[in-house]
Amino acid sequence: MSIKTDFSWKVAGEAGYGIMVTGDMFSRACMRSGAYTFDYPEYPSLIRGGHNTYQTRISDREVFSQVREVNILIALNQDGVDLHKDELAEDAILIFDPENTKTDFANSIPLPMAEIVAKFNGDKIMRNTVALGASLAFVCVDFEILKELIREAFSKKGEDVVKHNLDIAKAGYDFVGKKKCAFKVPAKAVKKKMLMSGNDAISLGAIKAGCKFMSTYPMTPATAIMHYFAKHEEDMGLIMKHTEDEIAGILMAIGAGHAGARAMAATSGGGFALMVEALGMAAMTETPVVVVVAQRPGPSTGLPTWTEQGDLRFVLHASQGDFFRVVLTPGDHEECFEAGVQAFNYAERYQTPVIILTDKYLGESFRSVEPFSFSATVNRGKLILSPAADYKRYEFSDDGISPRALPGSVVFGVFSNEHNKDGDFTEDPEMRNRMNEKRWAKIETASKEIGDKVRYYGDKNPDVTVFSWGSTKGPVLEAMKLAKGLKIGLVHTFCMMPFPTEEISEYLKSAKRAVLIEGNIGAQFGGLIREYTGVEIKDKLLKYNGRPFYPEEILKFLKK
Amino acid sequence: MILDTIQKGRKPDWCPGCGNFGILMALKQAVTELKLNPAETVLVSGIGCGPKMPLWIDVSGFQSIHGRTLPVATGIKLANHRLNVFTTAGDGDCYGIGMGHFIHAMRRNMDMVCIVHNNQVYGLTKGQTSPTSDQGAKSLSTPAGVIEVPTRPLSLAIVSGATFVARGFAGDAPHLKNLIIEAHKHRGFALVDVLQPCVTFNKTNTYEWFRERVYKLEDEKSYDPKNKMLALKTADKWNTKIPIGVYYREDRELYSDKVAAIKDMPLVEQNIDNVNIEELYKDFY
Repeated sequence: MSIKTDFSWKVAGEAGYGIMVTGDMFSRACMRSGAYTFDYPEYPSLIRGGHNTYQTRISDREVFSQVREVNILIALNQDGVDLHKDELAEDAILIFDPENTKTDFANSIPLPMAEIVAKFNGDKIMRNTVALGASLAFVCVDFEILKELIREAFSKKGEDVVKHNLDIAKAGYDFVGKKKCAFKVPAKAVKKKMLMSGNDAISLGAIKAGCKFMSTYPMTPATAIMHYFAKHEEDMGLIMKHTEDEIAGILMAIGAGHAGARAMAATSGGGFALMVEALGMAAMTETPVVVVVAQRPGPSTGLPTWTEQGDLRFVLHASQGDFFRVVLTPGDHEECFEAGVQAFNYAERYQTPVIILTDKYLGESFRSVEPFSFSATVNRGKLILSPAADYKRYEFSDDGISPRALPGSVVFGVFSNEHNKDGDFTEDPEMRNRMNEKRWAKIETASKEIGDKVRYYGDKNPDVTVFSWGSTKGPVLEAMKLAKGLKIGLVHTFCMMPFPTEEISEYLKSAKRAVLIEGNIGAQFGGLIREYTGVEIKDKLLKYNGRPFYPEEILKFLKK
Repeated sequence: MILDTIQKGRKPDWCPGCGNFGILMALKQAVTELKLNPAETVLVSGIGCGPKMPLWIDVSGFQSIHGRTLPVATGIKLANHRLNVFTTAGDGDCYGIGMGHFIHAMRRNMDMVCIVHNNQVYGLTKGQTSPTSDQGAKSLSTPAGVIEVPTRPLSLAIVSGATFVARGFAGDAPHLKNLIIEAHKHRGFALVDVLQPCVTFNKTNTYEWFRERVYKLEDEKSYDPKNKMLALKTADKWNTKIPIGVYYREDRELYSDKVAAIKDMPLVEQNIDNVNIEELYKDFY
């Protein structure tokens, strides 16, 4: 039997039983022993008692998404078997606790988790530690790596806690012993990698870009960004303000931006709905602000802990009146970092809101990444620190962008009413036209200046060209890897506004078969493509059940 | 420095006799007397008649949107605490649509002066009743009269954590000026609620109506603004006698005193050119 070095491991059980921690430690141990990983946790909108899963893809090459098939399933309860037996691959093994779970799956291995925990006088919750030890033994990861991880995780709680966890993990590890397994974590000497979520990558990018101020309100799946900022307030000199609501969140960020700090808010569609009025205020007053919108299925509360790409049209059109906003749609963790950095440059350069649009799948999936290579210098645009006494905040210019002073340096006003170049309120029709046109000119300026709006991957002469955006990138790249014989190209849109009309038109012209793939029912990106290029892509795969795309289903569709 | 009543050739577009003229004059005189640098003084406003003030006073201005002055002002102050921050909003703005922000701003105790033009109507939308309108007040939106009892902003402020609570009268600009000066000197969130007659839409609470009722708290020798229970009792006075002056004050640490990032310098002065994130990577290995 050959040994697989590209496989999926999944742990499933009741919420509150340490599923996330187990998944994180398994994945980290595999990563430290040399593998590439991609993790996706799924959980319902409750804290205790629902069904949680954590799925980790392990590979000897870089991986960009999970796959549907699971090779090793750890079931902590009966649901763990019943809800996932359809996902088991032909060669899968199922590890379960005979004390609480029954299965007729042929290749199943009873692991007496509760019994082992009881032997060490542990709490029932520590069954996952047995599972973790056993899992790592199955895939031939050196116990020393787990030892180190457990030490890092529990050393603050004292040596007794560390030892207790180590004993239980070791018992799980030894139970499996030297059993031969069909899966092995590829141990290679590779560059040190980091296990990081899309939310983490955006936070790091923002901090790298000099974002000093965040004000926001918690909302899944964006909350991790606020937590990250809060955790690093002191060491990185940041302010993270948890506000009374999302309205205050974006407003404080706009206030801080007006004063001269790079500032942001992070939320999901519902919270963004509350921010919409202020978004227009930022555009009218020409104040830089960055908002991360991590999508989840709507409308309304929808499926709070699941994924969808249904807010593209919303963020593009949010708020009354016509105005330019930059919308970035990163597709993987590196692009999240890049967007996190560039959003602040664009916000100051174009003096208008910048939205980073992600989703639950990208924001809360973890991937092994190398330290980011993307670099960009801080570009504060037309910021002037020592303005002349006759400074005019809304001076006309060809590129639509006026010199921007900060309060403290000179007397000036900014107004949410239409205004003249002094910032004084006006209802004069000609001035209204000129100001509206000045702001609108930013689109053309940005369109010329922002590069790499579209990124192409895959065969130079593909049989089928996929048009997608955001997090769908990963599963499409993985579908490419699975495809044998079918040549696939991916046109991934990273910058949705300014819209990459020319780039997409070119790819449409040369496509033998164009396919649209996106995670919403309304084919929102397809509609935009039609609006900007006049081409309707009829051949489309849309998904809107809260689950991310799987490479297998993409490939199946493309082979049709 | 002279703060002219006319800025850039424009005159305020308020109705003749509007209470806002008295508020604008008091604010200008207060800023002048305090010798505040106009560039370093930011007046954040909302939407309504009164909040047009930044157009007519020679300090830095930010006209935001209806109900949202306080979060914008908080963001500005947190990013650069060296700025003098004043806010101006109406009763509908601050006590109606912006009520949530109002209460949380008081809990927070940022160092700023919150001026509320309280005319008990929505002026700019033609006279609908506001949260401070008296019960039974009739308007286009309440032809049969207001059913709810009015909100009591000063009582709310005292129990919500405001550390300086005052009420002025637009018909007594010199007294109001002194209140604004005191409010600015107070270290913390200072509410100055201003009784502002709306000569066009409020035919009940007129200059005359107020003149018959207002009296100065400072004339009451025994009044102690540090006495919270007394302040609460005083804040309930309305129908026959209405006190003006400082109702309540307390010393409490500012929100910004506890923010580590701005202990040494304002946030906006920190160098962001090449932030090193190598240390942060360590969390992820």
